[in-house]
Amino acid sequence: MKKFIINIFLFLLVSLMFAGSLEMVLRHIPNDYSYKKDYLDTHANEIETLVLGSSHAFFNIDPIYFSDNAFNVAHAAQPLNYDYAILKKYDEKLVNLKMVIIPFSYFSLWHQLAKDREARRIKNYILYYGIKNENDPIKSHFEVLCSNFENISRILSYFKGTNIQQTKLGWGTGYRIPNAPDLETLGKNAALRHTKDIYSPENQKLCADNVAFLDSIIHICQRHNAEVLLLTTPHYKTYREHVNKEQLNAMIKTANEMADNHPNCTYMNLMEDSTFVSTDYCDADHLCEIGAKKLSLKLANDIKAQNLYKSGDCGSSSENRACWKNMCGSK
Amino acid sequence: MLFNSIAFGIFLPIVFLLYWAISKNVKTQNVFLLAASYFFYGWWDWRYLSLVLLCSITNYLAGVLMMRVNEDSGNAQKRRRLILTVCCLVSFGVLGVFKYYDFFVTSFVDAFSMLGIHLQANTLHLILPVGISFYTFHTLSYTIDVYRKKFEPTRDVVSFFLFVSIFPLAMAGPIERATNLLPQIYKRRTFDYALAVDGMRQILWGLFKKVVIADNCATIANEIFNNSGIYSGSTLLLGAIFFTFQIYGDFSGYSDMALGIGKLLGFKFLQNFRFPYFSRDIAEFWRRWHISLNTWFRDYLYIPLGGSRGTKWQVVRNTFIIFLVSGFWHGANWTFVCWGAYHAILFLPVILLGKNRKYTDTVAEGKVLPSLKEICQMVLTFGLVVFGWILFRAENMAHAWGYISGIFSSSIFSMPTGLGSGKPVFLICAFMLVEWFGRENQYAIEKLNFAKKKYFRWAIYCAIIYLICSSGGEEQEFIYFQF
Repeated sequence: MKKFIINIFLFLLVSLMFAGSLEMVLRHIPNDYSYKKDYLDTHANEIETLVLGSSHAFFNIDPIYFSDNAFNVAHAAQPLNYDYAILKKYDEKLVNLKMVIIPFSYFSLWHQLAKDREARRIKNYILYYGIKNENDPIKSHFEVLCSNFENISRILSYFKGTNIQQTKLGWGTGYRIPNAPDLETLGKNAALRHTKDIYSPENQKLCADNVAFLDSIIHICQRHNAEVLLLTTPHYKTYREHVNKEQLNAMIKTANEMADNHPNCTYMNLMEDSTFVSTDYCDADHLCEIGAKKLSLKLANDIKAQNLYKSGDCGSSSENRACWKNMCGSK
Repeated sequence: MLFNSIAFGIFLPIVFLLYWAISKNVKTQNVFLLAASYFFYGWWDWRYLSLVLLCSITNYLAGVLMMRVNEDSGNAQKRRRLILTVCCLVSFGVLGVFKYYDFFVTSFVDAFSMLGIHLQANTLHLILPVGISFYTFHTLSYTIDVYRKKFEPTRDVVSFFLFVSIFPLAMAGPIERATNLLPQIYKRRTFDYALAVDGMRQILWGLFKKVVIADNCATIANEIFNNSGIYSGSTLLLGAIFFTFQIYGDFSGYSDMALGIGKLLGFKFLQNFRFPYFSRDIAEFWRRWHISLNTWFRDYLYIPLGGSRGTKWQVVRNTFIIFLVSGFWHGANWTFVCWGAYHAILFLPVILLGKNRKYTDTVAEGKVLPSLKEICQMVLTFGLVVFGWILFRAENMAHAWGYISGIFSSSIFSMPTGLGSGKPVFLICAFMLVEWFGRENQYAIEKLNFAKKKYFRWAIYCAIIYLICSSGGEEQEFIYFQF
């Protein structure tokens, strides 16, 4: 009995020491989250255009093409509640904020991390941004308990120097290469994965919560006298063909209502933009480097052309907005 | 209290340490273990302890009364049979009310609705007490064995009550036999280092099966089964395969943990699984899957009905009865009954040709790889089992039919969708590889023959713990708790 208890104790001690060491190592490896958090800590007061949102912003919008100080603070699978939490955290520091771009996608209103296959990402907000929610699982407070096989690849990538997969301005560089041959299958897969039962009570509540978060984001921006651009990024036809029309229409309707109800909010729907061709895509709902450049330049030019920063020669800001809304062609 | 919960992680070490600390005599051990078992069961819902007590009292009294029957009197056998009948009526009555009442009422009403007669269904909507099917069968094995004079009834209340409710087995088996467990309860357990280490290893492997394999497969299987209408045939087939591994990881994982905990406390419970997915025909599968339930039905239902003796018609009848009852035991739903019937149909050719005991050894025993013939046999058996699990998992018959029709559509040749990363596939492949190399043991990692050095073994345990902690899917309740 004594031998058994001693061995168990020793085994637990060794295991805990191993786990503790691994935890320390993992937390000290810079990653996309810690990089963006550090950037915001030091440069938040300089940022004029802030890009929030999921991978549809992370990989599709490169701030380098914007003429002002822009930064992309999007992360893969980042839902609206975390967009709000990040904006709120840096609310006071964002003194020069003029524009916030939020991707508003087919799934945005029914997406949350807690019940998503990407739930492991919750730990990144807790550990690196210090953003905690009441129902965060205990395991999300530890690197070693969340990242499964990724931990090993993270250590390896650190030694290879590829642990940060984004540019200095936060654009994700993981999806650079076009992947046209697989677009047929990828489109269907992604659309099905993003399709939800929008009438289930759970998803209806989730939708209402996400609308409230979006509303709060717009209100924060209003205080900063900043514009909010809700953007549905380009999607390849195979994705569009497999979406649920009801879900898509509900999303578009909500975006239009947001734009109608808030003077500082505009909705731009580029989902079916025909200027984006197969070679612009990395997969059916993400652009590759060429496509991201095209989209970013388009956004930068449109913003600049309409002088949405409330100064310049396009007349009053309300005229600008009307002009902008007209140009965006919200549906 | 789930075996994979934090509460149980606190409960088990406390019980283990106290149990061996106060281990002066068998009575103290049994009283303590009984208290711990009631605490464990009551943690879920203390009100349902009354059913455990009712089951214990009824069967205990039945044993005592059968013992008191004067064997010299002329009607001794009749009196013993009467006692057994009353005991079975009470036990099955409780099970019937809590588990099957609503099903029978709604089925009755549905049947009349088809004839155009509309009746009002007065269902009870009772919560199904966890483990009720397990402890009912567990306890009845004692009473039937006493009736058959295979076993001397016990007068020791504490021992018997502990036999009924011992906590590693209380929720989901294995369904123990009095002939195996009661003698162990009578004797004072002494701490056995090797047995305890073996127990810890089995718990670890069981936890791995549950948390890493079953829970990861559950995420995908649930998604596909819950939205079966939108997925292609190939994806539906893959969903069924994921459920096949989910249910195996879930239930055999629970059984491994139960056996491991038993070993920590000095008990050796019956093995419940012996690598069923490496079976070469359906008869072998049923000798390797949920062994404790199947042997229960064999000994207390199939053999009394005549077993495989008698005319072919009787063999067919007996086979159908045992499989239909086994299906119905799992739950009050026609899907389970159909699952039982499906397996009866698969089993019939084997039993009618007298080949049901053709494969009693382990596949490719003593070899690294199976022959081509064995591979084909295993793949075919596995495929048949997968289709059976669709019936088992479906919400109702319409869902099952829709799911199976979906598989047999032209989209079966398309690429499966909605799988996300290949992590679960990789985990299943790695898991099956370990299972294959450990198939001649009680559980896959029972003998780590290649790891002679202690620290090498510890490294393997650390790796498994790491996988459990980091790769676990969304926490799911054990499937068999609902039965």
